[in-house]
Amino acid sequence: MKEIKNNLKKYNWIDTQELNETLNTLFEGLNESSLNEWGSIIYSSVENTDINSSQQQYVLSLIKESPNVFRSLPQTQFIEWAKQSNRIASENSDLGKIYVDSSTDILKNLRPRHLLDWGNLGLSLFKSSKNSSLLAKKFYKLSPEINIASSYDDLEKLVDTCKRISTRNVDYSSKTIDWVYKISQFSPNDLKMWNEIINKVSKILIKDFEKIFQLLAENADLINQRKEFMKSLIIILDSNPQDFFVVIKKSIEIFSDISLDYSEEYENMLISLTANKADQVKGYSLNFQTLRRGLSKEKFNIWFNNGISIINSGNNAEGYFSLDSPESKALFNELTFSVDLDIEKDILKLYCCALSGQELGVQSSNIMVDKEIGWFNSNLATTEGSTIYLPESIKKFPERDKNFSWLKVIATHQVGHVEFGTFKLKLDSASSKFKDLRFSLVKKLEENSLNNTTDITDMTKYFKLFENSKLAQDIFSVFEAFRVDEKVLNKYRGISNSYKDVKENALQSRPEVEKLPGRELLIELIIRYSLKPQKLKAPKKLESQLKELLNLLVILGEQDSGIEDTAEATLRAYKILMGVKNESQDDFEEYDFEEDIFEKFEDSYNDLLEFYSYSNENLSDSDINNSTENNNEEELDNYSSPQEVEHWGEFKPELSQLLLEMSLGEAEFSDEGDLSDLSAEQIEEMLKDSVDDNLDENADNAVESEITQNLEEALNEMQTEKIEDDQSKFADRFDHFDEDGKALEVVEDNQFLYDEWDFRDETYKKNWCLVNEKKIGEGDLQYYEETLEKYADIVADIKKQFELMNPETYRKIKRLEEGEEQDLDLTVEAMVDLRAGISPSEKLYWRRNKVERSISVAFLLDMSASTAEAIDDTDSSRDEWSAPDNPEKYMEWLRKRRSQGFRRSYKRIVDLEKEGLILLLDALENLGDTYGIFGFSGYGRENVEYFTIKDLDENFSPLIPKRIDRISPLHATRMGPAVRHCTQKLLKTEEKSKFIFLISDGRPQDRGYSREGVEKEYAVNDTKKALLEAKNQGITTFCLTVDKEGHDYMKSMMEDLSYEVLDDIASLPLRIPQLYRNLTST
Amino acid sequence: MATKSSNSKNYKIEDYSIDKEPFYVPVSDEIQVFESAYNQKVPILLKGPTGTGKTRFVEYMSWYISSNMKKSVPLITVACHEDLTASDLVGRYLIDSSGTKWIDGPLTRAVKSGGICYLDEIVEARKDTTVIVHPLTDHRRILTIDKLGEVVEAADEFLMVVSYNPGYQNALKDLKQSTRQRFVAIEFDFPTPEQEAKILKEEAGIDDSTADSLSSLGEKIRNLTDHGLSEAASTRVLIYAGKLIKDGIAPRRACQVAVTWGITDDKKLYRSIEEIISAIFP
Repeated sequence: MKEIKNNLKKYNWIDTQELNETLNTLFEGLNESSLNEWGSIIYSSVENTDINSSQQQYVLSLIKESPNVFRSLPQTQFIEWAKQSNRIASENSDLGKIYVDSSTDILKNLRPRHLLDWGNLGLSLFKSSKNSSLLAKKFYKLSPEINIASSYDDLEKLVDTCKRISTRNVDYSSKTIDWVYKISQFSPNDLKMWNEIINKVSKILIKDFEKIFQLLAENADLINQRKEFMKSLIIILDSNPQDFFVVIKKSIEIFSDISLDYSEEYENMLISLTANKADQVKGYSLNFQTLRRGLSKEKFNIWFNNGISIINSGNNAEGYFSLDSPESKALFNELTFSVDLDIEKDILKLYCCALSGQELGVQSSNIMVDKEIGWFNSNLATTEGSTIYLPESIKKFPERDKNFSWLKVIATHQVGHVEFGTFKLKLDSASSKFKDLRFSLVKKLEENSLNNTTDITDMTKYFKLFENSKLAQDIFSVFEAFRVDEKVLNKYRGISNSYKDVKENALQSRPEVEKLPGRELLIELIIRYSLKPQKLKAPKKLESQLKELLNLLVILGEQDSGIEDTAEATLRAYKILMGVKNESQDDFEEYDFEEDIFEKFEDSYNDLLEFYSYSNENLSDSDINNSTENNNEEELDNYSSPQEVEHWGEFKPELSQLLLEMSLGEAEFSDEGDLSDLSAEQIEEMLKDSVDDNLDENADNAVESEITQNLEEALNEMQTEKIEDDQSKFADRFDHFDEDGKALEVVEDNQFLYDEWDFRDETYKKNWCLVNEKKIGEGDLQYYEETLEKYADIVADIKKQFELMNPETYRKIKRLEEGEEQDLDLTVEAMVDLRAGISPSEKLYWRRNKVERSISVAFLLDMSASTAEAIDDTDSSRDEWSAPDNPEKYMEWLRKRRSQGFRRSYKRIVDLEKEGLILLLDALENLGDTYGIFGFSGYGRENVEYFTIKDLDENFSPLIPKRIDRISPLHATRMGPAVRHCTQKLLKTEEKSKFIFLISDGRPQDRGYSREGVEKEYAVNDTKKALLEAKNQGITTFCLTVDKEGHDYMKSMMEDLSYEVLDDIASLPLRIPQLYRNLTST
Repeated sequence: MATKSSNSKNYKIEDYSIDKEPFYVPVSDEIQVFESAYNQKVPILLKGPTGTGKTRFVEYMSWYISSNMKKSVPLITVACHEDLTASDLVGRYLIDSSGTKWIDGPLTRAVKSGGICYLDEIVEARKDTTVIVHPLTDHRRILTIDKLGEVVEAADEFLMVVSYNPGYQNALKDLKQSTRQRFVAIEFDFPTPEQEAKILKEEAGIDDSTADSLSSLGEKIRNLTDHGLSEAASTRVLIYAGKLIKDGIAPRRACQVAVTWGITDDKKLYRSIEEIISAIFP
């Protein structure tokens, strides 16, 4: 040791003290020979006579760092290290110094056995090209940091990459290291993947390395953290390197386009496509934006998945994703052009409601067919008078607009049935065009009727008049469809063009007339004529009959015709058709009826009467005497209904009227008895005629009885529902019952008793409800912070707006036209102006703003179980990528996201309520209003839960947001007592204006919050009463509901109180502050 | 007494009366009610949604009464807004070369000259402003001008008419009971389609079928009030649409600009109304 000291003494630039320290440390751990070896290493580098300063620096570093390195290394390796240092220094002493300096740092993460390899990596880099000393220095210098987030292998890979690049361009090589270092700093988790990618790029695409690297370096932020995507990139690099640049370029373009937020979709699809067939990715990437813009998310998914399944089935998917294959094109076009009911539903619903002036629903025909109560074709439109059923998707035409027009036409036709009263047929109301046959016929029918069954609807009774009711229904359907079409065309002239197109279209698919037998032929001709007045080819001997039929049709097309006219016309047409034998015809000639059918119609009333009395007798006879029936049966059987007219849809007048009357609650109390009297046989009978056709196909009795059963069930269900709904309507029929139970008593401190209003008895039930006031537990602050972060821009905005609201309470406002007193200065000024001949300002007054803001508000939050309902939140996907950059926070974020993933990944109504509150909370604090936040729920009258989140007199503290976090859906909604309790609380405050802000998601309901368990009105009325009580005490109430069905009951519940029904649930958080501002500002 | 300046006629407030019969289609007995109320000096409150003819009715009645009494009754209209102060109605001191000078406000002029004073959208006015009409609208029929220290007794022909739209769901914009119970109320609602067609035809000068279509459009849109439309399409917007059509704008476009864009910002409603328009107008 001394020897070393002495030997080095002569070099005065060596710091003796440092040397001593180093030697002391090494002496403790190294044996004599090793120490000497170290010494000789040092000599060898200092011995050089003309030693320059950088060499000196190197030696100093070596001496200084040796103890540090020594601590991490075994003896032998330590010496090896020192030797290597020398080797490197002999190449370039600066490099050696940096190597030595970095060694300690890199050893923190690098295994000792890799240390020498690491040194060699740098050396090889140094030797890789002429000007690479800087590169190698950079490598040594930055690799400790890079190594933190990766492994030795990665360093090796990096060097491999760099070496390859160096041969082309050393600058880029050094940039690469810089960039990798940057990644290791800002996005350490992605480093490995990046390293892999650029390594592969340098291997495979070295020619294009510069431009690829530049692209990646500039847009790394967009790609960071998309792990799967990066994996896909690697796959592409391996399998289709030539596509790589295009794919990455396009991907970056898509990721960076914030206005069209397709990133996630694109990414997921790309990943799945890469996994399946990487050579298609290029086409997909290139065309994604154009294709995606043309389709909705769902439809695009359909298209994409179809492609994937083609690949999976082993078929040739060449060109599918670039939309080059015919298969892909066909599907894509269909998707683009088809109109989906799901999307247009809301619009159409409003449209239908507006046209009819009634509350109509719009549903898919599938739903009607699924009910299995007599409707069969889900591709046709239909209605039962209260809902319009439309086909799920329209793809008739290769143009979107045409498809939509078609949908609109068929919807309008169905609404026409409702608007123009198809289902309002009454046997006893007169027709306007004909002499009424029905009156006397019905009378006769009732007299003749042997078994005394009651017919439920007039429609059913009406069709009983006919022997061949299938024929009658067909005539009726055609006539009525025509009548409705004419009415629609007359009233809605705007739609007439598309309507005509539709009719024209229908005409083209009609069957050939010549092959049809007599009756069917005539009906077919009427249909054709009703679609378009035209020349008709008809057999000569049927000319007069046809003329009469068309005459009837034309009469129905007149403006003031009603459903009763259709009924009368059917009676007449039926007679004509029964007079025609249903056999094949010849001797056709073309007729132009247009001129002569407008002759006055001659009604042969007596003949008709006779005809029907005959056929009716026949009918009643047939019950007794089966033999006479044989003749008829033959004839009945060979008649088949005409081919349907598509835009007319499926028309079931009898069933529809029944269902409609049921839903209106008319049928159940009509005539004698209610619906329970309706026997299975009757339903069956009714069904037989209307569903005959379709049953033939199934030819299965089981089906028929099943349908009967379904219909019966549906009817019963409707009836029970109606009883619930229409309690008030038929209230007198029910006796008043008092609900079991007595007044409750307060047992504990935090319990309060309230009366409940019974609107039927018009009294309060004394001490009926027990409110338990509870403090809510405390949750996490995170939710609060996240929400504020999420809405950061809006929060600022709200704050600003609220600040504007904040009145400057005592400030003098000058320059007013009107005020407390004239302002002296201004008056003097005005007088001066006057003297000077200038017209003076009129604003001479000042005033103190007397409006002092004195407001207390209680927010009352619905915490009922229904607020757990998930809402469609397309937004949520976005924040998945807003991971924090900071690695520490990132891990935290990741962990939280994981745990959240288990809990739930969707948003609930209650979450929006909470968000709204949080947004408001911040602004409210600035405003200085007194406010409280309460939640309510409960189960039963003895357990109304009233949660205090922030009491009115409580100051804001971090506890409040924590409590908000704990707001969650609980049980039922007994609004009345909650409002009453809230009123009591508010009354204790001293502020001048008091408000209750009620946020709810539906009608009030609770166990026993009704009469006899069915009467929903009860809850609504009690709530209304509670709100009115509040109003009478000078409290302004406001109710905000997100229940889309809210319009009906809110109107009766809130009457002249203010409320709002929020259609777009997602806007709730923003709406709450807005409303608050409007409500409380004067 | 009108002075004519270039293109427009200028009147003094109390000289302005309706000379030509305004077009008005009575819905029920509102004319008789108004007339009796006028004879009995009972102030009148007109309520109803916007564009249902409240203002037109007042104009009509002002003409009607003038022509019945063979003496012109001026109509003094004040559109109320939230900054309307009492002195805007009663009057104020102004400064002129010789010092200050008192100028009567429109209300004072109406009271003195004996006209119909029509306060449009009274709820919009500040509450303290509303209160000054109180002594005018009960048996006293006086106006106190505190700045002058005067009390003005209303002329016999004076009548106070106010209008208000209960449709605005603003908790604080409600008329105080003490105010509203000083008036007899005449309620206005949208006319029947036939009446409306007649009005449209007359006001916009359009043909029968266009008028029918427009009134039918109005009817259909009003069906949507329960579906999120806050205020239905008024007769006024239909008249505007009619006028545009008359002037050569394509009907669909005219309805779009005059009706749809005006009444809603909601995308869904917007499209639904467009569909209705395109169904009705070719």
